[in-house]
Amino acid sequence: MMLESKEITKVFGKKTAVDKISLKLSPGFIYAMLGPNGSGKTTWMKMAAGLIKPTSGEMYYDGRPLDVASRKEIAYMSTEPYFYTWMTAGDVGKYYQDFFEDFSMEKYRSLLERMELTEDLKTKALSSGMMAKLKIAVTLARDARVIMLDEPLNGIDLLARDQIMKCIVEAVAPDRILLISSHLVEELETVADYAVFIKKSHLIEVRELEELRISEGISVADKYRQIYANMGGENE
Amino acid sequence: MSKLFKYEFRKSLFSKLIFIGVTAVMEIIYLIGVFGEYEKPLVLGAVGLFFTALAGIAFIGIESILILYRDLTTKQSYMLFMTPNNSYRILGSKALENAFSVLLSGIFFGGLAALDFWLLLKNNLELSDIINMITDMLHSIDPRLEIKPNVLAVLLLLLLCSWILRIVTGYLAVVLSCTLLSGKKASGIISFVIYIAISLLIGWVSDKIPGPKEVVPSLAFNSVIFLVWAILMYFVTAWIMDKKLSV
Repeated sequence: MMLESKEITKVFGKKTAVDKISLKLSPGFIYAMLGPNGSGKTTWMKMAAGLIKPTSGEMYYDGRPLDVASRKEIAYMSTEPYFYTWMTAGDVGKYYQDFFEDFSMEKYRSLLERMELTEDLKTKALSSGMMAKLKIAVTLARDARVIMLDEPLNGIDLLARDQIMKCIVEAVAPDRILLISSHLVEELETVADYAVFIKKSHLIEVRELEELRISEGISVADKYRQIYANMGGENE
Repeated sequence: MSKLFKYEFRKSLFSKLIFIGVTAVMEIIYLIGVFGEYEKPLVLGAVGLFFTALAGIAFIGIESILILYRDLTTKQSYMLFMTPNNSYRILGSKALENAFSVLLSGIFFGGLAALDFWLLLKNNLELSDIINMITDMLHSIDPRLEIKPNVLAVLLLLLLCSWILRIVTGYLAVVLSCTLLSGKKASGIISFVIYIAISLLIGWVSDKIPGPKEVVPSLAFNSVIFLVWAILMYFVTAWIMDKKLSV
């Protein structure tokens, strides 16, 4: 079971968001997808979730081209809020339960409790931090083979961030791929096994963090500075 | 698909409740007119009910197109396209829910009208006055139409099929503006022009198909033609979504 993109490209009008990225992700590891805004991280994730059609190249899941059935095993959490405005947190859980066989309502309720959220909360009334916690709870309540979290720590205070990172680490399993994008490089360094560096629509390199520390004697944050330092204001 | 259907129904529940509320108010005014034998509330209630029914049924269809547009252009699209449902099922549930809602509204307003006519007959008017009123209404649609159960049933079928075709053609226009025309200038206007062009083309081609001359078979034949067009439009739209749509 593997998630793989082969020479995948996405062009929006005149802008190439992802340019011929070939990348293989294996189960049992946490991957940190790193790069400044607009580097192509979200577009790559959305292609892996089947939300965006690639212009060329192909995405593969478990050795076969990504299709509608793959969505049964791939969970994606967008950085933007996407729930229907009439929903409460409870409705969100029911919706996931209706469409995803791997969703556990029990786990969802327990995650809501840990995030200090209640089922009667209306999604349209949530603050950005509460919305982020709700998205995390409903995504991690799925027993999906691939979990992709796009900027999960956005808008979340320090204490809640620790709680979320704990939940993410608990989601690690030998048969699961965890992919997290974030600009909070230091936060990810403590949990990730690999760092995927993306710059200006291109894949720069994939590094095992332990190997990076041993061979180059630097942290991910240092490596990040090396790669993106010359991008000035584009850096996050 | 039943789950998709359920959520499609939920998306338009608020506007349906508003129309039910307005209908209830108009019905109360009408009943005051009937039982109190006041002419003004009776006329006001009857006219109000008539226009509420027309507006309600028309709005249900138009709202369905607006919901599809919202489902494709906002982040709420993830709620549909993250789930393991293909475009055929997603679009199919929308079309079916809309046809069901229009049919249910037709039955609801038709039943209410029958009840109100019966009450009027019992309290005020003669049966012949009511029959004349309905006959005049049918003649305004087609002078050959008469008050017979089979004519009314086939007329209802024709209206339903024709409405479904308009809605599915609307879906096609929305999907075109969000896929092939996405990011292009005036994509909304172009897709509206495409909608008009497709509607005219369908009308022109349908007129060329020879059909029966008698009223009831002719109406039934046209209903089938509209339905075939609607199914064709549905497959074309879902195919474009499947191949080209990015949300």
